[in-house]
Amino acid sequence: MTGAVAYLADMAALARGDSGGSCLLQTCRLCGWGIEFYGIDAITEAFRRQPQDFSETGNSVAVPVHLAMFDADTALIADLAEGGIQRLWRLGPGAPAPPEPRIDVAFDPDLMQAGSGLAFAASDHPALKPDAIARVRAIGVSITDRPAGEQASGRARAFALRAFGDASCGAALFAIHRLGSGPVRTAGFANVAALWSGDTLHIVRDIAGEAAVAAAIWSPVISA
Amino acid sequence: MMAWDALPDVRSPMGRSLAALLEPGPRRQELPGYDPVYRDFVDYIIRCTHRIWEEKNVGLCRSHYASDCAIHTLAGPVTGVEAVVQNTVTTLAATPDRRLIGEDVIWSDDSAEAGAGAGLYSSHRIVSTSTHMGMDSLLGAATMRSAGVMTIADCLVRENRIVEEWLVRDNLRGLMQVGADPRAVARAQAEADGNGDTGRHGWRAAMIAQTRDGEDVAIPAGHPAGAAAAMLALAFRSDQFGDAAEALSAAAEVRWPSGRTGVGRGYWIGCLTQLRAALHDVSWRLGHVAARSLPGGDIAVALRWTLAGLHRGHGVWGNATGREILLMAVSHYRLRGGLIIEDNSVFDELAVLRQVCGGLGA
Repeated sequence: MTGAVAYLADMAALARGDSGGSCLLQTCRLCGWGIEFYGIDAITEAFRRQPQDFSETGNSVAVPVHLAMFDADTALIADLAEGGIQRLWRLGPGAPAPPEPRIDVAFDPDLMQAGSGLAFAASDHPALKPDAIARVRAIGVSITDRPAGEQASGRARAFALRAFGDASCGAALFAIHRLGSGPVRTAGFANVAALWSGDTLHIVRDIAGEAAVAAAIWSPVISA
Repeated sequence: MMAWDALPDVRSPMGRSLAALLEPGPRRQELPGYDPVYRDFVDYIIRCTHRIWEEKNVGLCRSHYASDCAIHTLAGPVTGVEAVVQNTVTTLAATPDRRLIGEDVIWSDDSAEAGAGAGLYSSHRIVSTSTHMGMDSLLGAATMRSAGVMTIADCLVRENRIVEEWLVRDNLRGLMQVGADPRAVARAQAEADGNGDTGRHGWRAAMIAQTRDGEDVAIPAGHPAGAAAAMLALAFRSDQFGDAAEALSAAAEVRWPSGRTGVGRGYWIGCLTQLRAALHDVSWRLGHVAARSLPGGDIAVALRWTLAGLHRGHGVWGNATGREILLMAVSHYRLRGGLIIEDNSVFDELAVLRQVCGGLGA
């Protein structure tokens, strides 16, 4: 627990753009601003372009192999390994990064007619205590609904990427696949993070990632 | 074959810093005939890659490849150590700041294999990051753009020398990252393939025949690769994609070539059906398997496989051409609790497009 907590200051410095990335593994991947950044140089550069101050009143959760830091509308989730931070997800507002050309994949997220809304296997998350499983499940189902008053946003399905902690305190990261509304739909993944402490639940959506999905050009072929 | 989980002190590089990986020290594994600097077989792969590519001591290839080594790629074979040296220098001239970041080395001791297959076998997953600063035969004139692509190099090694290598690189993604037109590049390559003695492309027909008629490599009972191999066989041979996908966790992360990145069984099925829709009358063959333990009790599995089919479907590669197409791929899976939670699969989709455009022989 102590080792993971020690990374909090490193992550805050990284988010501010003040870090050379010594806390990062050379193989670290950062998912943020709608794309994936690979390696220490690319990740530190990404944070320097859009620095973020995490306030001292922010919340955090640490277990030996994962760490989560939440501010009002931004979250950082990390996988920790013996040599440093191995994976990072940054969620929140911001300008999407320039998209990388890719081949899109047409697929069915449900594999059944009655979509459950959540793909979650507790066995994927060894740092999640059994008493928190029901909570993760409930959060995962609820986050596919947008808050009342927001524009209808089509079909959403959640996939639990990370979940750790116990019933009293923990965090989870979900990839949300959203098929946008409208006659011509958008499609893509954007993340949502949740942190719970007692009865308090804090949800952060990757607004920058959602904007990237909305702006993306769908291309399931090799483009010229 | 050595048990897949023997020699636990020969650890995966996953989760370890480069400084820790390159720390000198005593041998952890018996390696007769290997340079004393190498502590174990994983260290041999990680350290010699670092020495050759990042420390720029390309001449070390001459003591790390057999003089008559055979390197199999979907863009054609490379034979002999001097060709390896020249290709490495040429690549470094175009992308001098190239880093070959080793993500995993999934290896097996195949010393008991008969004949040419005997040796230590590594499946080395790398992400190469670089800046396109110089002229390159594939990427073209310098663009000063950054690129980062996944490569998996499967190597058969005997006494410090790579004797055979199967190299798969996500070249289409690299091209797209520097702003090139993949179709134009593939068309130009295909046109060049038609020049001169086209008999030089006989390897492709031979590999297609091996994929169509050859037997799968045998998997020892209880080996962790069994379930993953059965998954691909069920999908490509029986079109039972839903049953096959049950080998994956419901929220598995999937990384396939050319920027395909997604989550879940449905996404994985989408990757396979995208290929299967374009290719009719497909044959799939398993060429090699390996597995090693990962931190936290996870297991890493490597499968090398080939796929042959007739391009009769309009789809990801454009209009149907009727050509017989060959894929050579390596898949790295991370298993937790018996299910796949990560799939990193690589094949050279530019070389596929080159075939679609009529290249690499009949």
